[in-house]
Amino acid sequence: MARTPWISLVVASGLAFTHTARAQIQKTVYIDECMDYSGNGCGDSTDLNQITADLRREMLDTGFTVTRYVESSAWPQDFFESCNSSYGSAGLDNFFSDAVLVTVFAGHGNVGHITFGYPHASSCYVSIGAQMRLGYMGGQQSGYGIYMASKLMSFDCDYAGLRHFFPQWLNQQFGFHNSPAIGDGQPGEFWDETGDTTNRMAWLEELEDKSGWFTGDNSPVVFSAGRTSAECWGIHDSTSFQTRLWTRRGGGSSCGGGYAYVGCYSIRNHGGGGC
Amino acid sequence: MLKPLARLLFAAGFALFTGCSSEAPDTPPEPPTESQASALQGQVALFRASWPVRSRADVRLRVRALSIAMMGVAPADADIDQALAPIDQQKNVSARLATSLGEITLRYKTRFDDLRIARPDVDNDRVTPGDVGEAAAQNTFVAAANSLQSQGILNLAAYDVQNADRSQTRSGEGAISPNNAALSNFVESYDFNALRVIRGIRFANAGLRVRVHRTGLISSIRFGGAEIASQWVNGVEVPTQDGYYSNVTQSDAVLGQRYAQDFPRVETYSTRTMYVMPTNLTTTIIEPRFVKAHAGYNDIGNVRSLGRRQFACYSYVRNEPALME
Repeated sequence: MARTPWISLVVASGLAFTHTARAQIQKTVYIDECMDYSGNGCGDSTDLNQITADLRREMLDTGFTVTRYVESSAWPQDFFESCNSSYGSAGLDNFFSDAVLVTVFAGHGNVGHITFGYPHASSCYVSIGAQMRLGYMGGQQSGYGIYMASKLMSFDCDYAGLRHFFPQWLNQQFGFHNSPAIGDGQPGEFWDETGDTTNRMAWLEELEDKSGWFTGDNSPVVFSAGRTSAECWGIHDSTSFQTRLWTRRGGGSSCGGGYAYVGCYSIRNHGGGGC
Repeated sequence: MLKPLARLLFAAGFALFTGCSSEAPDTPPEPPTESQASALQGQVALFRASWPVRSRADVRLRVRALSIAMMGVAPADADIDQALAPIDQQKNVSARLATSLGEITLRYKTRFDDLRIARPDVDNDRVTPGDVGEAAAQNTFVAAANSLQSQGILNLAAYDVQNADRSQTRSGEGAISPNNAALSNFVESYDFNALRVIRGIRFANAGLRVRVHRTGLISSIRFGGAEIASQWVNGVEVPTQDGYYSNVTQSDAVLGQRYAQDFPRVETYSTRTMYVMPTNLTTTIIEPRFVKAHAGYNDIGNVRSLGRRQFACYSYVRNEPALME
């Protein structure tokens, strides 16, 4: 897979790389997708269908630049906060997940963590609350997170899953309260739908069911952020990847710092799955 | 997949410094189990089922009917027709259309005859006070279903309107910081989902979904799905074309045991008896199936990881591997 030159150069040379806020929105995407979970060193479990290939095509068709890694090329370190090893050894989010505007993970997971199919440097997991800091600290380019794994944004047990995403400094995050069934082309159809509606409506409507099913098994969640309640709902109800895209939030704390903002959410609740 | 060179350099550089990542254990989940399985006996009907290929004109009529059921008015036929042009190339449709009461969004998935319309102004209304409550919302849902029947696109006898699944879309907000993260929680809409019903058994791949905003207005309607070849005889739906009847040979107990053997490491979320249309086929014979929804899990130490939801659908009439969806 081709890499964008600036990333390749910086990574290969090991040079420090400092980002500054950009006046113009950089329509960039990073995707890690894992499908093969059959005893590759991160346990032995159910393999998954591929769901981001069509998504990538839709993103490219709408003018986004997409970097996508799958299977053993998708690493937990891509999501580790890079500014300090306390977030996980050898964090690379400044070059991958937090070096773009839209960050995507598809694979296994559960409340509080995402799981990769292959280990890298002995790691299989990312502990979301402890090791991920998207949108600030190292990298600080991400503005949106899309997570297509089970229960990551669980509301059960006092928002046990969603709480892990509070430390992310993003405009919007998309996930599931329960374990979702997702058809191969559905994330791409979600993206396509944002051409005529908001991200919130598209996510809740498209991901409520597996394509071709009407049983309402999935519980999709959208979580937005703003400086004030009005700003949060404004972002929540107006943002569209294709027609009304906000730049990254900016202004997040430096390495190791805290966070404070107003969060707002919508959930299409077809039941949870425990916490 | 080979890693790019830059990535390999990183791997080599960091391998010396990395350790195993772990985290505190989660509480082992106790998933809710929805049990809608029913003990089938005797003979069951098998039907020819297909995803219908609709003409642009046919879909236009449906858009018009759904819009009238949703808000009493519809976009101009010419506007609908123009928006539906991609259907001629078997492509999906996504559009915004004007009505006298505001804009609607239109989404049509050609592959699955899946039509959705919505009112963004109602869906986004966080200003108008009030909450009509679920009972009033249900009346609105039933009225919408009646409207669709009177407009000739839905047969109420074939939809489980009275026993529709009820759920809610909820919203909330709160100040978020490491020491303060209390979120409010309120109803955005009351959601009703009436699946197509075949001889008293739900059909997973067709239905009517109506979302009633807390203000009492309908914010969206979804309608469509697979169709079966049938006719009504004395109030009972009977198979036509190459549909037929067959004896039930597999009991719930037997299928439950097979499921446990086939999927020893899964979290099971629901157990239902449903007709299921395989989504990778365009037409086939469908039958009642014993349907388990689950996600596979893997425990490493105290960390449990889950795959995504799958449906294991066992035939009641044949001893064969589960259809996986």
